[in-house]
Amino acid sequence: MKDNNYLKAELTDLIQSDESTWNFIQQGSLDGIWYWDLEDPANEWMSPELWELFGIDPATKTHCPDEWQDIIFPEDLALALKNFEAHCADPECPYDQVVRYRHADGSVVWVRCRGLAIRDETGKPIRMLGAHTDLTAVKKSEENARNGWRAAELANSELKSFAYSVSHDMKAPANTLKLLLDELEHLGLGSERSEAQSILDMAQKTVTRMQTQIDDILDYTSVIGFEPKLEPLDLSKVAADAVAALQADIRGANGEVQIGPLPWVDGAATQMNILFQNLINNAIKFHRDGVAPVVRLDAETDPANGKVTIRFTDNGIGIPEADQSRIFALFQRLHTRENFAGTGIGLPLCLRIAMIHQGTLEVASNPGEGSCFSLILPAKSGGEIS
Amino acid sequence: MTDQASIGCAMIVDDEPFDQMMYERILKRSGLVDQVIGFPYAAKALEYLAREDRPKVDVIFLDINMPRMNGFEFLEAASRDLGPRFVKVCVVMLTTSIAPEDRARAASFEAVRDFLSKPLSHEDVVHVANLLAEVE
Repeated sequence: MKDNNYLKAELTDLIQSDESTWNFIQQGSLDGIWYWDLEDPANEWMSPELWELFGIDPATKTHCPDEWQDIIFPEDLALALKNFEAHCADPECPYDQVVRYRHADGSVVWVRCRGLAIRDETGKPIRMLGAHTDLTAVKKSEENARNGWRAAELANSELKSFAYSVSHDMKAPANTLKLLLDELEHLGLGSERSEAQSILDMAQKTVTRMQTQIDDILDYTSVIGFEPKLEPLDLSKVAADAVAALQADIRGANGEVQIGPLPWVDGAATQMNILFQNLINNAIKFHRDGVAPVVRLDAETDPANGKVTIRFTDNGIGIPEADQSRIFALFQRLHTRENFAGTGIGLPLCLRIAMIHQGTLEVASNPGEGSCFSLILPAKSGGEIS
Repeated sequence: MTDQASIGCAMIVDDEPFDQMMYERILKRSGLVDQVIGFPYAAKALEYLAREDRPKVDVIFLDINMPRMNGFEFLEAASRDLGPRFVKVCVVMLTTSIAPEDRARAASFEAVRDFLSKPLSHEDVVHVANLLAEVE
C-alpha cells in the first residue's frame, strides 16, 4: 500500500532542504555515520559522532579508512570485509554485523555496523553508506546476567553438596537411635530394669545430640548465602558478651578468659557473637587434662596492609599439623564424641563469618601446648585498638 | 545350624561409642562370632593390625566418616603398609554413606568385599559369615 500521507512527503522535502533535520535524525538514533567512496577507496567520510564513541577527538582524524581499521578487532575486521564483498556482489546479502572496537581508554566498544551499497545504472557499487549503533551497554548487561547465572549455579551446587552432607550427618544419630530401640525391643519388657535403663539413657543422649546438631545446622544456614549489613562494632563488647554467655562452661572447667584491648570493626553483631562464642568455647572445651584452660584475646593492626588480627590463644590440647587443614571443613571432627562433644559445624561457621566480613580465619598450634586462632579483618579507619 | 559358617574374630572400626556397643551385642548374640575387637579411631586399628603377635582378624566392619583418619584413608594406609597381609582380611564397609562415588572408591580396594548400610542386623552377620566361607 502506498503511503500518501502529506506529512511524509513534507518530511522527505525537509530532510533534503534543511541539514539540521537530517542531523537531528542521525544524531538522535545512531552513534556514527560513514560514507565511503568505492571508486577512490582512500576516501571515507566519518561523522564526528563515530569517533566520539571511541573516545577519539574527530579533529585528529583525516577521513581515511585505515583509521578505523586500526582500532577494530582484527577478527571482526575480517568478518566485516567478508560481508562487504558479499553485499557488493549481491544486494540481497545484508551488510550487518556486530563488531568490537578498542576505545581510547582501552575498554571494548561493541558496535552494530550496517551498510548499504549505492550502485550506478549498471548495478556496480560506487559508494557505501554505513551506520553505527552502540551496543556496549547491552553487551555489558548480557555479561552481568551471565555472571549472575554462574554465581547462582555455584551457590546452587554448594547448597546441593551442603544438603547431601547434612542429610548424611543427620542419618548417623538416627541410625544409633534405631540400634538402641532394636536392642530395647530385643531385651523385652521383662528385662532387667537397669539394663533397659542404660539403653534408654543412651537413647536420650542421642536425641540431645540430634537436637544440638539441628541447632548448629540452623545457625550455619542462617549465615550462608546471606549478606548482612555491616555496622560499626565494638569487639570488646562482643568478647564480653561471649564470655557472659559462656559463663557456666568457663566456670565448670575452672577456666579463665583474658580480654586485651580490641578494636572496632565493621561487622554484623549477631554473626560476630557466634564467631567469638565458638572460638572461646572451643578454647575452653579442648583443654588438657589437669590444666585449667586460659584463653587470651588480643589484637594487632598492620597499617601496611590495612588489616587487623584478633588472636584467640589457648593453652589446650592443640591440633597436630596434619589435622589443621581438616578443622575448617564441614562435619569434620578430630575426636570421638566420647572425648569431646561436637558437631563439626563450629569452625566452618566461623570461617564463613570471617569471609562474609572480607576476612579470614587461620590457625597455628603446637600439640600439647595450645592453639592460636587468628581472625584477620579489614581494619576500620578510626577503629583503633582501645 | 550345624553347617552355618562362622566368623572367628571381628573388628569394628567406628567412632560412635553407642554404635560400637550395640554392634558388639549383635555380633556376640548371633553366636557366629568368637571375638569382637572395637576401635574408635582408624589409626589405632591400623596400629593393631601391624602388630606381628596379633591374633588373626577375619573381618573388619569399617565406617567411612570418622574423626582424623577416615575409612578411605585407613584402606589406603593399610593396603600400603600391610600389603598382602591386609588383603587377606575381609573388609565390609558399614556406613550411612550412600553416594555411588563413595561406594566405587571403597570397591577399588582389593580387601573390600561388601557394603552394608547401617545399622547392622542379625541377617547382615549371617550374610558376612557366608561371604567369609566363600572367600576361603
